[in-house]
Amino acid sequence: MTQHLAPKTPERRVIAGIALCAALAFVAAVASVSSISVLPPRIEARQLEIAGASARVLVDYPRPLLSDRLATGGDYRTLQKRAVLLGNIMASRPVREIVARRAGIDARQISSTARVTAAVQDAFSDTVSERRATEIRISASRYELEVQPDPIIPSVGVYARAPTVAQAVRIANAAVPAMRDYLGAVARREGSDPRSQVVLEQPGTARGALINGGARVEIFGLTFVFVFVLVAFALLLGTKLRRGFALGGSPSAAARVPTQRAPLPQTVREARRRRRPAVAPAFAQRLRIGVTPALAVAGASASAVPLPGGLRRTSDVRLALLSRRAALKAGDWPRTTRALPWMLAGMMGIVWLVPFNEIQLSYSLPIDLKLDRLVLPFLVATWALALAAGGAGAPRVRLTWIHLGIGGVAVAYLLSLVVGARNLNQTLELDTSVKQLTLLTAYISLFVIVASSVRRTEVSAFLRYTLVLAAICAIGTIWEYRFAYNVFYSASQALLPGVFTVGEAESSAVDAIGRRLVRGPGAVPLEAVTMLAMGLPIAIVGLMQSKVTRARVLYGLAVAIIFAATLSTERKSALLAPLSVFVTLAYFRRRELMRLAPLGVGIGVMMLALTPGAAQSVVGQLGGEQLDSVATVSDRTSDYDAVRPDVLSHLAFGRGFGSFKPPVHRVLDMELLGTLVQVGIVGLMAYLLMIASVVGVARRPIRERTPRDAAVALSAAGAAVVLLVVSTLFDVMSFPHCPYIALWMAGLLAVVVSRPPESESEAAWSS
Amino acid sequence: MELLTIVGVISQRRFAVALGLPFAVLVGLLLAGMLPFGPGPATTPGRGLAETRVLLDHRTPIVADLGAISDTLGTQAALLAEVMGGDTTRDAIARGAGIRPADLLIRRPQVAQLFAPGLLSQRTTEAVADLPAASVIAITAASPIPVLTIDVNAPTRDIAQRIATAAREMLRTVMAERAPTRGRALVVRPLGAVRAVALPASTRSPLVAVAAALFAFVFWVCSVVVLHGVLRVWRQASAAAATA
Repeated sequence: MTQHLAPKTPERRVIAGIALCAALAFVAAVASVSSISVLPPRIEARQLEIAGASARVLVDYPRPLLSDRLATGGDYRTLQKRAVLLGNIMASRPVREIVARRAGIDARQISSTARVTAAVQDAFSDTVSERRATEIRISASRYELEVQPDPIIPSVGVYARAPTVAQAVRIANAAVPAMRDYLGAVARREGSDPRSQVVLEQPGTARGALINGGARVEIFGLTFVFVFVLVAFALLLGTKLRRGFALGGSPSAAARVPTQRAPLPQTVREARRRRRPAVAPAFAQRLRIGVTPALAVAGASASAVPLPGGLRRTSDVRLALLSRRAALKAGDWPRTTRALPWMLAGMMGIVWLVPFNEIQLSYSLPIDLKLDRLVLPFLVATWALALAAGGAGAPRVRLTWIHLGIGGVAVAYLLSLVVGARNLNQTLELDTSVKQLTLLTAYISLFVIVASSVRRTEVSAFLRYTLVLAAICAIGTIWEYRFAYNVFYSASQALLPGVFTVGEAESSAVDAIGRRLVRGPGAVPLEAVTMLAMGLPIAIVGLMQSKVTRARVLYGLAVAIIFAATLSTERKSALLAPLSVFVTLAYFRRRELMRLAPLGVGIGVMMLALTPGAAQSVVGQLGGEQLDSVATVSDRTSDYDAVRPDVLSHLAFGRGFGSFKPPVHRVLDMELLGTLVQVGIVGLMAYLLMIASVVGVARRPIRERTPRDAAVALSAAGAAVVLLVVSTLFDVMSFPHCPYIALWMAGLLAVVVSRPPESESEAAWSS
Repeated sequence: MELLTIVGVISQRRFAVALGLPFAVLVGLLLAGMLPFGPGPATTPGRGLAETRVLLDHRTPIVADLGAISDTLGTQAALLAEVMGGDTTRDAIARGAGIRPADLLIRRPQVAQLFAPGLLSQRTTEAVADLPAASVIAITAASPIPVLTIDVNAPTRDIAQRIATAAREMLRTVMAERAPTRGRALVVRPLGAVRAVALPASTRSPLVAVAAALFAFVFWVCSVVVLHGVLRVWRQASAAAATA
């Protein structure tokens, strides 16, 4: 029966597969925004709209001070403090119950909170676990009343959240009468004169509006895309497995598996000659006119050797020939006419030397268009067109474990959003999270493009190019340390047209514990440290592998400059990140590294000469007392307690990718902790597996010790370990220079492991 | 080199690419408003803007009386701006300007934030500020300086000027009404006349239509190339299945 229903032709199978994906995705998407019941059959739209309303309350004496020229500063200070007190009482349970009664809603469904707006130290205003737990509880309520006392004047802002605008307005309007009721009741109970109470004045009725427009569409779209991709992937995997199973089980399997592709015809005439026997059935099969599938297959197989890539038409062959001729002329980067490697080189030049995350268009747009997000679309578009056009130079996507690792991260992060979408909508954070997907897409795009566009024979050149960029970046950073002048920011400011706004780099500024803010092209010093540390393994591996003195000197110089530049940032991580590189390389190449020990002395001296005082500053910070007393350490340790409520309330999938961001939430100085909070244990595991996949994939080329491949593998493994180490030190994925570089290195490694060296030239014709 | 292949595909599919030309021209003409249907040219209607500033002061100007207590004037100015956000004042200003109260929106000042506000207050403030109204008036205090600025955005220059004048009068009225005694009242002094300007109606530049047409054509061409790729893969899959 199943056999009978199964689509007969490949086209129909594909259409059936797409239809199945679309149907399942549609059902899931509908379920995400509606509640579906089977008995009785019913689909009801979920309540996803959130409305907000605001009102102001002025606090004054019975004899108003507003127009009294004899009012004193003391009067207003007293009133302002009283307003803060009243604001907090307004958010208390007794007043909340009166508000609920007056607004005609269930008192159990409303929560209230008063925000700290007074000028207190950050430590008091930063979210601690207890307050965060309350916030989580409040966000789950159907109705919310938020009170914000003004820190300067005696007034209070009242904000209400409800499913409808009318309800939100009713709640906001009920706050002042409820407060008056409460104060009157207290006065009566305590026997005080109600006339001596403060006067609460609401200048105008509350105003309300919908505050989460488009959430329904966002949730629907997210779920649809996620389920569609997931089902499509599952179907593809299932088909592959089934096919492999069927071929493996059949005695004639080997005979049926095409072992070798036919060479491309040299001329159009040859192509026509080769195609002729299969023309009629194939054409008929394509049009499905009076040809049984069996006949079509027979006709197709009648051709002695099929044309590569399913070429059937003369124009296709002509195009393939044109592509081949072009490919013959196009050499390897940098001596190539291929656009994609040059575009990639340009992109990496921007990543290493331009503070792109601090540069954006001056125009007001719904999304922040940073420089990388302006450049990358051109790269992606060219790649997509080249892929679609096919031919010899077309990018070829070949899956590796790194692809799967990165794909796993994408799936886990998207899953956290799909699962947490309704909760994020309730907390008004869905928009923020969805916007973060752009950044994730940008990272993944770069990896996929590198892994599919770079030739294996180009990897060494690109690795050297990366080292040159890292060295230039290091020289600029050292210059900034020595002369308090950030050449990256200044050059960007000078070279970019006026439509771009470039951020400021205060190179001579110091942080709270007196360290210079040397940041290179990054936004913060730690970003520069990470970038440089990821470039460091290339120089060390080059030094280990070079046999010529000149090369040794140059690589040694590069090591000294890059290491010195990391130290010039005066961060503790400037020692830890390079140390992780040395440990990684020592794990794989102990003897070679030991042989470099004498050179290390010279490099160390040079390093100290380049950045006088920096090394001492860094080492000094690692002393026991220093380490315990500085805020940079205590802030990090306090993060563990602060995120407990969020972690425990969404343990598996997190509260949603990109949803725990300042200024609404606390700054988490640890990527792993941020990942755990946002994407849960599943996402954290995916993130760790992604890093592990790079190191795991690198092991084979490292073991095989082919100089060219091993150099890439060691460098990529070093960069991956740096990413892991800095993930425990700061929120590295929020600073795009670092993930771009890490994924660039991973992409180069994927090229090396996915393309066997002997098939490089042949692979060029096998699209 | 990839570009050569892409150009090759475009040349191979030249008929499909050529179809993009009328499509692009259509998009350009639509945006230029040269067709009887479609969105037409985006014309921004003319608006009137008015601005005036007032000083909250003692009867004896504080600039001439060093003995006067002036340190609360900034706070009082900020509170006055809050009071002006009320419905009663809005109705009075609308009446004074000769417009319907429903057509006037007074943008309320925000709570001074020393720390990050919550998303609820942030989103609500943004959404409420975008409520539609023909005329919008914003009264802001430059605390701690006792100066209030009245900004009006109205359909015409004349209406904007009338609203600003009415708002300035309303400030005086409010201060007079709330004074404990006439002698202790604060006064509102205009800092110059109401300045009004008419913004002419503007139509979208023809360059936008040209750019849109160009973009539409590029998009069409890219779509043709991508479709070519999809068909190619489809054919390959069919061929492979047929061979197998």
